[in-house]
Amino acid sequence: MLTIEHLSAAYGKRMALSDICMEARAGEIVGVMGSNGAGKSSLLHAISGTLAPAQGRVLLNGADLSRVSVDARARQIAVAPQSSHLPGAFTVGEVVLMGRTPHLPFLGAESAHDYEIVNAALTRTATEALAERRIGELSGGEQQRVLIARALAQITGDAGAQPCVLLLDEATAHLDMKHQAAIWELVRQLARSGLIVIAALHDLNLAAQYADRLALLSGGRLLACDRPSQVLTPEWLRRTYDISTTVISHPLYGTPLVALTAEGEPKCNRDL
Amino acid sequence: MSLGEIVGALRMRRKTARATPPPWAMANKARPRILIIAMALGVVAIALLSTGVGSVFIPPLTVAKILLSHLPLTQVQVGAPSTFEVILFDIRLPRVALVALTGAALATSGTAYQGLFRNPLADPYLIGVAAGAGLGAIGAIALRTTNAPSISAFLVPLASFIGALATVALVYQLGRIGRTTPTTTLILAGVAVGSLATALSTFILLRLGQQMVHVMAFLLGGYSAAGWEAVVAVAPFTFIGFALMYLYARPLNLLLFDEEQARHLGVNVGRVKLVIIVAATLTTAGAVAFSGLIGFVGLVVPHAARLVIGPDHRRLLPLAALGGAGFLMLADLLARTVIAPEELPLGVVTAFVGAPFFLYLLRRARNAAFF
Repeated sequence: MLTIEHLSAAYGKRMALSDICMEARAGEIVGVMGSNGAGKSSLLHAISGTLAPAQGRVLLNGADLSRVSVDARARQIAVAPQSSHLPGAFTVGEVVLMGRTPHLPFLGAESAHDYEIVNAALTRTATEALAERRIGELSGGEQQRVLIARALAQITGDAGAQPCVLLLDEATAHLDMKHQAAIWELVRQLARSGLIVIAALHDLNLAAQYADRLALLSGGRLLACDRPSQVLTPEWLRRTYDISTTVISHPLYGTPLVALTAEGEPKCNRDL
Repeated sequence: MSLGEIVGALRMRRKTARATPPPWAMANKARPRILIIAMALGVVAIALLSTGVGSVFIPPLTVAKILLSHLPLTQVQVGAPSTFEVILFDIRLPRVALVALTGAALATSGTAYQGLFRNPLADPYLIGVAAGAGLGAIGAIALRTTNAPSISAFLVPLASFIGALATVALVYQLGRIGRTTPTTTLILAGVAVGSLATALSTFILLRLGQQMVHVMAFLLGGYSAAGWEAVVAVAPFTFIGFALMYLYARPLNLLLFDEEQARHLGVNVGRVKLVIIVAATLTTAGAVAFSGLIGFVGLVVPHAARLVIGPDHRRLLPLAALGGAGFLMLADLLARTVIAPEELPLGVVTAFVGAPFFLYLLRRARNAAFF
């Protein structure tokens, strides 16, 4: 269980988050949504520890994360970033093995145990066939899988450990639809196996389909945090993004489907 | 990390020692080892050749025999004129040793700067460190020549280190924007501060008047005055700097992604950056203090090493050290022989070899990953 209590944070004088209260349970995917600058990344940074809270606290399984060492925190919380800053000459195996860093002593080498964990992470993300390839040669979708594998290797701990957190920062924003869907299917599997997944994302329809709950942020404040069917409504979307939308129901799944609508006179090429 | 954690980790390591890595890791372990051993043998061969060549030629085998006969517990019949020993120990060896140390120092600090700043162009010269070190060294040399040699020889590398460190600090402060240090601003600041340091050095040089010739030779990388004193003064800078860089090789690998990812993987980014910068600056300063400004070694050798052994600093740093030593010894050999009995400045030779190779790298880099 991840609990965020009255969290406020700032970059210098600029307030990034104010008075956020929410929680996320093991097994669920919580989508974090909002327009650019609304505080999505800041929230992820506050959870991952790269942005120190000014007020309030973040608790993982009851432990205040600001009192946990950097290593211990990294063993429980992993981030799969966008695959934009990758030193392309490392092999996939080497990159995933780097996920074991917080488990290794300062000068220690990787043990057989670490290699087992890396192999398991490669298998779960269907990247074991890529292990000897250089990461720079892979497609965006494959790179994203490798980064998720690294995150898995990072938070795989000793048996009986408490649920860990996987943070996704716009992980699929640059992928095509097929690869987006594949990554999200993988993320859902991982969540169901007991991870707490928190994902910043832009695509409303992906959010509707894959997130269990959605946190709507605007100006650093949490507007709402609820199931997609509750918050993906024209009214909430106007308050979050300042847009007009029509929301219909997915013909197969019944989840919300969001379409933009124009203000006033229709401007689309309806008459063509 | 607490003591308990360390003990626990060590205990776990002992239990799981003799790990058999999976195939994907094996392929990446055997080859680097062979490469490093081969390069080490190559460096020894170059050193033997390099110490043998000069106005009096001593065959490499004889050099090896003379060296072995000086090791304790060995009984090697040399059968060579005793003047060879004098030439070897008093003239050739200190020079070759100093050249090797300088090459290793410049190559490893270049490797570290490139990794740290995630910029394939970062080398001791481009970010102004070498110019700052040069300014420090020239200041100290000026002080020595005007105030008689009462000041220790160790003052030169020390002043060089202070100059280099001040330059790095200044460049880093100027290049910083908020919490980040974009490479472009860093390089621009480096070029600007470096130019200023060079201008100040030139000013001091001109004020020196008659003594200027010595310092000019120094600036172009002259080794004629190399003795054991210089080797002893440089060695600690090179070895301590290298040891620090090597200890932080793994976190340096993670910094190749970006600082945020490194932080998320539990790396204390601030400490790693500080240690790497101080270590790389230390090795640069030591090299510049006694060898002057020798360009391209810190740029070309790391890239060449990266091409053959990959981006992992745990293997890259040792290979770059050996490669830098070998490369500079060869360059020095050329410098001594091409227009003998005159000598070319070492910096001229490295530029002749380094610049074309660097251009080749630039062309190649368009469709290949640097790191």
